[in-house]
Amino acid sequence: MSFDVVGFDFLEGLTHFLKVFGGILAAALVVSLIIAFLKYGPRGFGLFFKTIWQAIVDFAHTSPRRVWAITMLTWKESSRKKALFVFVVFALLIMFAGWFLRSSVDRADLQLKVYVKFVLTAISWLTLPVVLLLSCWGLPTDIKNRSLHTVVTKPTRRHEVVLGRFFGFSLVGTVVLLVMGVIGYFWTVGQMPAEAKSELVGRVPVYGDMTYSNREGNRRQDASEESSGVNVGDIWEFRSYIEGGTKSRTFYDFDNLDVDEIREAGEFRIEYNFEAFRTHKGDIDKRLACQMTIVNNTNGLRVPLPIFEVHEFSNRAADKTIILGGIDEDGNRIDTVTYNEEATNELKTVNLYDEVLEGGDITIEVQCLDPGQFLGMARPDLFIRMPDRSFASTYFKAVFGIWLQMVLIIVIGVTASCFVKGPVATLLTFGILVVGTGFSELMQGLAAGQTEGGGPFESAYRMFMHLNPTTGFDEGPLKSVITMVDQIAIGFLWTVQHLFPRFEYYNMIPFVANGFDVPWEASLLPSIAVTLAFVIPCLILGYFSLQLREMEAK
Amino acid sequence: MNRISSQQRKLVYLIAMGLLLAPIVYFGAPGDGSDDSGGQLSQLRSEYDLGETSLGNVDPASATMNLVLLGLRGIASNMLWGQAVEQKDQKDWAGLRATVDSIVLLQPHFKQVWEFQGWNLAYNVSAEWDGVADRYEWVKEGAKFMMRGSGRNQKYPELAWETGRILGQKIGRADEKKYFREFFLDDPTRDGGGPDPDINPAGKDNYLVAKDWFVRANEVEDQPGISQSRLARVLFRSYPVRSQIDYADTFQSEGKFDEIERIREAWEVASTELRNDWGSERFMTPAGAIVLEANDEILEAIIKEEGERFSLAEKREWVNRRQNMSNYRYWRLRCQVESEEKTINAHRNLFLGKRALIDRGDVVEAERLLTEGMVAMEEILSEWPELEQEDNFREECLKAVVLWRGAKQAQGKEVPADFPLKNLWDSYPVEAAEYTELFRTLYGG
Repeated sequence: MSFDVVGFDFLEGLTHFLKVFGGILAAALVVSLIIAFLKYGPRGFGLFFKTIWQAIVDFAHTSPRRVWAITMLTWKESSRKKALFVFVVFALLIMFAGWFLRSSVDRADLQLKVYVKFVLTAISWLTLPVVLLLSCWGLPTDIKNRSLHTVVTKPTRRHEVVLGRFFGFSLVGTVVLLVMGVIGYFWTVGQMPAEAKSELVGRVPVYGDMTYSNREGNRRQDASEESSGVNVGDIWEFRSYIEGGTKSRTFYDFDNLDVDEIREAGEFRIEYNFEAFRTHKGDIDKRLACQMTIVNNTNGLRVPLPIFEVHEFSNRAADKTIILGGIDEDGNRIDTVTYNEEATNELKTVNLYDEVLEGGDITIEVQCLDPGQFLGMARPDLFIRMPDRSFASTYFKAVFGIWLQMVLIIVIGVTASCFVKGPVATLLTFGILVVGTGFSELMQGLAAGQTEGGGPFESAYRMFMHLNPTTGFDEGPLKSVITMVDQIAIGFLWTVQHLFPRFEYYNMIPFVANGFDVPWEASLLPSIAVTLAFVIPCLILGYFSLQLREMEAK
Repeated sequence: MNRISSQQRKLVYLIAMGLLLAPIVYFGAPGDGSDDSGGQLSQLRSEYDLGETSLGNVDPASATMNLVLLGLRGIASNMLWGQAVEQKDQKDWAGLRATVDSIVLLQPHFKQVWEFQGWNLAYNVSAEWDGVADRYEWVKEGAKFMMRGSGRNQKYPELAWETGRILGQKIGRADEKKYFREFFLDDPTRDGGGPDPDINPAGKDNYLVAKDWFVRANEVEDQPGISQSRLARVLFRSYPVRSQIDYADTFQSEGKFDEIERIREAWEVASTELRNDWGSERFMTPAGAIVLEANDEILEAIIKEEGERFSLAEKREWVNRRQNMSNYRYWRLRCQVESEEKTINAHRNLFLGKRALIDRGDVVEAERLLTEGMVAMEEILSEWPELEQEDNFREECLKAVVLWRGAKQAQGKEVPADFPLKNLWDSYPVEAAEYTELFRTLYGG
């Protein structure tokens, strides 16, 4: 895979959420209290607490029946708005997609990428704008047509209206997504040629922690920049390189491997994807030679595996897989590994599960054997492949990811439409979507104060004084003042950035396209967490907005 | 209030529609292929060669895409182009290939798109791969892409020319040329072997297939109203014969002397085509038309045709300039010399002498063959002294002397004060020293 898979720490995320949510809630309450006081004088305190108490009562008396009624109303309205016409566009795309994708590639793994990317992107791009528009225009239209008056004059609570809208639009989106998802699945499977069907899997990788040793063999354990390999000048700094014919190695450390699961699967499968870099032509018709050594950190056993050649970018699984164990020609299980001991070159046989993998704490060392040549690798370039999951499971997990994203957009759209009119709500939601999708990294950099040239005031000062971002800033009182003001601004930015969901979590297409299972920790869990983190605050915001909104105002 | 009834209003609409239809039919009626058939738009399209069919093969997918995008294809192409660059940087070859295909669906008649991306696939992407067979696969991808571009744009001679360049020079001159040329005749990805029918249906040498594409490029360029912006015309038109020369030269340098007749024939064809095709073609200069294979008689005939507007001296001057520009006299001499049997034999002796020394260590046989070759080369040089200025010829001769000296020293013999090619050896001491050092580095001694 061409990107690193980093796990999501749920507890840390939850703590972070509570801090931000609590902070914003407290600030909102204080500001509301001040406004109530300024507007109504001492009477404002009473009104403030009454409103809060009313909210608690309303939420406590939520009626599922009323919520369901509004859900169904939303469904009917959406159907009348011909939202389901989106199916026609999808059908057209599916019918003619083959024309545009047919000549892209011949290789099986590449075909999977192209088809999966097309189907899942088409589904996202068709459903998300539809639900965005529906959710942003639903309530404003009701208010404009005064149909909301008939609802709010009945014993319906405002948050039930908001919840009903959430559920209603989500139901519409779910139906659309489900139909498209199922059609897309069968289309993808159908498009794949018979010889490429084997690519339709959900591989389950276990990644290790990666460190390097330098050419003298000194291993650096920390994960700082110094512990990386050699930079060969590749514009893409994803991979780091080790020098061949030296003591330079890459170490992949695996802790707590599930040896029982591996034993049950009957084989230990290592998959890798290394890149070669030549400093001289060498033997032009031979690929670089490499070797892996499995080191058991519990019993100290070192098992050098047979030398192999690097087939970079190859689509043949056999070119990038080392299998230990498995089944012999007679159909019997192989539970042993035979190797030449490093020191004595003596042939030895050991048990794979009880000795090589004992304790599940192992390190895989990788070395390049060709002097003067380099071998490039990144953390996701080597993993232990556990038993596969089905393609359907990974595909529908990605569809679930789109669904979560869709629900989030609905939640934001409906909430926005509670306090602004349709066009503004659309712009606001679209803006949040764009910033959350494309500018998340920039926002994080700004909020962390890591951007070159300093915070907003320092940057403004630099522009005014014609100082470029890399020029040093003279120490002195001016710098202290600017830095202090910037700290406040950055603190504000830090809070604001949390109002933009990180949509990058929802993009599960690369996993499916590369034949991997969508991981729970790195993708599904953060997606669910982000959606849930926005539902509760948005519901509260929507409730108060609708409660305080003047319905007569069109 | 409106005084006409609903029915009347509908009738008015119908009449209005009928009236509006008339100009649409007048302007937009499709033609039957002939110049003055169809509506006004069809005739204009035909007059200015703007129709899809007049530009090249029609791809329905491409036409649909452009129709759907209305006027936004430029923006879409730009976005895709950026994506392609990123995919190349991140080595997402599948993505790159698919994106490039999408770009050409949007911009099927944008010449630079085909040129840039075809080159990108054949040269840049192929160089990223470590395996020789993988590299060859991407060279083929680039060539096929360029062929497709040429088919879709039959009025761009550059695309056929670029196809020829990939098939000729990329396959024939890359570091991996030994393998690439073999793969061209026996593709590693084909079950049962044989050439890839998409690029080499007749199973010919890569330079001969390249020659076919250069000929095609010249044919396109010959059509009225079409010009190319790749090279000076005198150079552009030389490529078929240059490819024929490359074919003969490579065949010879690869030591395929068991097919000596084929080598001689290849050089003879090159010589004939050089004089009769490229050399006899008319090129425009500020002094009117000229031909490279010119003599006073030919030039005077042209002057007469042109109404005596230019003098013979002016014509001679421009012939000389164009000959210098295209190195014409050298190529003519080379073809003439190389098609001589004694030259082929000299090359063969030098080649076999080298093999005897390097591969088998047969120093006696090596000395004999190299001496024979050197003597023949000296004769050739005395007959055509201008060959001394030619780098490849000089290199071959000087390297032969180095090998010959090596063979002598290996036998414990002294190198005599006088030997064949001594004049050349003494005239180029720097190159002689360089080749001697190279020999020592590679083989010791």
